[in-house]
Amino acid sequence: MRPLGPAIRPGKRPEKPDDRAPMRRAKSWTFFPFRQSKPNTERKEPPVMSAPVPPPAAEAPDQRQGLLKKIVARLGDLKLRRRRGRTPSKDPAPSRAKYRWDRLMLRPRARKAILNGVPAVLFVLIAVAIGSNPGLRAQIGTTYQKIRDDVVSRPELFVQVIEVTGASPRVDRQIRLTSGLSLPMSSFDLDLEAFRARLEGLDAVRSASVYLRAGGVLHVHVEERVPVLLWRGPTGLEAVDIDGVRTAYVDRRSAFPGLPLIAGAGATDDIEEALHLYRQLRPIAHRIRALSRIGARRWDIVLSDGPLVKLPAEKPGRGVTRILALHSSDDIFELDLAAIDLRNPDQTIVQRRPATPETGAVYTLSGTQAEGN
Amino acid sequence: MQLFERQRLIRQKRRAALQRGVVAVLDIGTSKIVCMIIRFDPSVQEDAADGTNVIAQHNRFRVIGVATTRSRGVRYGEIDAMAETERAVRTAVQAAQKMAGVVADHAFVCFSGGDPRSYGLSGETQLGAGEIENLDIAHALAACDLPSLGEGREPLHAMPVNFTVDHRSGFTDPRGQIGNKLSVDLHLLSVRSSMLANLIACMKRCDLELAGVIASSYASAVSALVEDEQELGAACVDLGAGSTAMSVFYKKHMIYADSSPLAGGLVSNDISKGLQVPLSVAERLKTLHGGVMATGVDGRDMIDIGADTGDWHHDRREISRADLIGVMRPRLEEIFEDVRERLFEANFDYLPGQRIVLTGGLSELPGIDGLATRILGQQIRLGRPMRIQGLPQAATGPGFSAAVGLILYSAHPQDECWDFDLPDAGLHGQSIKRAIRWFRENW
Repeated sequence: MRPLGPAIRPGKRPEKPDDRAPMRRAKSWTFFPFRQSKPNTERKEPPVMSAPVPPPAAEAPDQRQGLLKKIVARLGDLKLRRRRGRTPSKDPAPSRAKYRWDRLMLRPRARKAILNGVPAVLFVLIAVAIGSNPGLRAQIGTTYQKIRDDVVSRPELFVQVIEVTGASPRVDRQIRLTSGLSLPMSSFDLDLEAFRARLEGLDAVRSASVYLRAGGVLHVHVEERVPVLLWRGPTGLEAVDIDGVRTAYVDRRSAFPGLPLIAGAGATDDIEEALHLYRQLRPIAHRIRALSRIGARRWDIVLSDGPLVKLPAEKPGRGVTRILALHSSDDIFELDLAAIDLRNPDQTIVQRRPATPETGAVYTLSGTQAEGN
Repeated sequence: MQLFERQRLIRQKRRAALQRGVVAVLDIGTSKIVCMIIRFDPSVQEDAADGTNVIAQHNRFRVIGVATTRSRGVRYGEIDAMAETERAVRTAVQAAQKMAGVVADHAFVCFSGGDPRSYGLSGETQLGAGEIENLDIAHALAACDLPSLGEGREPLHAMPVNFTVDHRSGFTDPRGQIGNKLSVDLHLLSVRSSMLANLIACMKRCDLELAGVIASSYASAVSALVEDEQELGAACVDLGAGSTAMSVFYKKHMIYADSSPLAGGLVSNDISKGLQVPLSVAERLKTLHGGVMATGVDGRDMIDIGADTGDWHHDRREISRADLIGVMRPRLEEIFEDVRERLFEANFDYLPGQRIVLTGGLSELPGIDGLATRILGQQIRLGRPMRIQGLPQAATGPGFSAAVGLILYSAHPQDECWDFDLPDAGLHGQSIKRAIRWFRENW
């Protein structure tokens, strides 16, 4: 409500549309001589008259255009025409079909039947239609193949190069030679898992990870097997890693000059033990030719200029300690012995090298401690 | 008698609808159409049909969906354009169903048009020895002679409102009484058949089965009158948009109903013509600024009456509220004078209770009770519909009393207790009963 009393409004007089026009005043009593209602902000813009947009010119029927495309084009045209002819305020009432459909969908059983039944029936119908028409089946097959070929032959999906990391040049070369991939090839035709299995089948590869990188790069990261020993096995000389797995065939020892040698069947079963023994035997390393596995259970030390040292199967390290003690105290390797048998921990048996075959004799030293005394 | 067979058919339909548990209630008015979906709880036992437990019955049902839409194709409470009305009904029913989440197949409908006319009938029968039984009541009802309703009219309601045994009157249920003569007073309401036929056709087009039709004067009185008023005698005036429906209640029964085309829509019409504004603007002015009594401050209370003609002066007009009241008041007076005349014709003056209850959308006009007091008498009350379970706040206004009354009626119809076999002339099944009666009388 307006406050009573004269309105003292500083500033300008309210504007009138036309000062010369007579003031229109409300019929009833009014307080203010000049009155104007607030400008109506809700006033809508006058409707813009415009010429009706002609329907888009019908394109020349394209022979390649499929039936579906034509129908879609028709429907679009229809919709456009309907929208133009529609009254501005939409009827809020549902159409009779919509009304019936909504009522139907509010009935739980009918709703379930429609929501489950219709897709099932459609699926069965389509399956039957496809199954009973060999021509259609073949067409679907060829279409599928064509689409697949289109995708497969995209240049973006081709593998161009192989990139190998973590491999020595020798293994790198080996990988490239044995990959069996004829690059460039589509990444769809590439069986990465098989490729990885093939890489891991290589002697020198401990594990490999393979993945496709953007830009057509097949990235191969390999972890190589590190040879720690040479093993003279039944098939020849091999380099083996810490797990006793062959890393390469070796034709001559000089290919791996630093690696100690082991021999005998089953020698690769316990590489750790062999390496441990070698570390213990470091004082006489220059005399050792090889560690030989006997009966796949114990080791013999084969010296280049001395007797055969037979270590026990259990705790061979103690045997080594004993032989090193004998060596340092008694220079046992300087004796003309054929073998030193340490298999029994309580006694050391030495076998003299036979001067003649019939005069061979065996000396028994009754324990190293007694011997040392 | 064709009348009672008809009533019985309607009762059967209603029972079938209530058996389903979910019914729609449609108030087809001139300005709005209300659809309410109600769910009946079958676990609540129905009490003896003696009408004593009306309030207790209200926990039997619950409103689960309400929708209101602008009415279309209805003039003076009658279906004028069938397709339009059908669309409006569809809109309301669909929205209410969506809110309820269930579909309603049966509909109770009320309307105010159809030129309702009341008839008071009476029938009399001689009683044999013994207590009054159903059959005696049926004989009394059958003895009522149906007046000629006129061309193209048929009965809408026929309710026994009073029983008289010998010289004792005022029985609601005379069964068990002993006397010589039983007479019954029957209130019959007739409407135009074409109106009913249109209604049935409209429901059919909306896939709804008509479970019951009642006059909106009756429906709004059921919800707006409190029990005392129904008992002592009162008139309910439903001030709608297209018609003013009035009904008189006495001893909990409707004894008179009438409907007049002078109603709130004419007030909007007058504003539209008098102030030269569109009808929608007139309606807005009436609802937001309308009044009945001009006070001093109303002369200073200016109202913008916007318009969209493009003429600046025309679109920028202002009127005072007193002007608006000046346009509205004569028409309101005319409406109430018409109501007074019709109630006078119905001998409302002779009722012990002189209470008049105003309800309907127009009764929300501020000060209308003051005007009604001047014309209709001192005992004026503004009636709102009874509160029922689940009714949203938006539907508690007086404009919804007909819809709420329809719900109350469908849950607890008053003529439910008078459903029994009617005597047919020369019915073979009756001969055994007659023989038994003869035995009783003679031994």
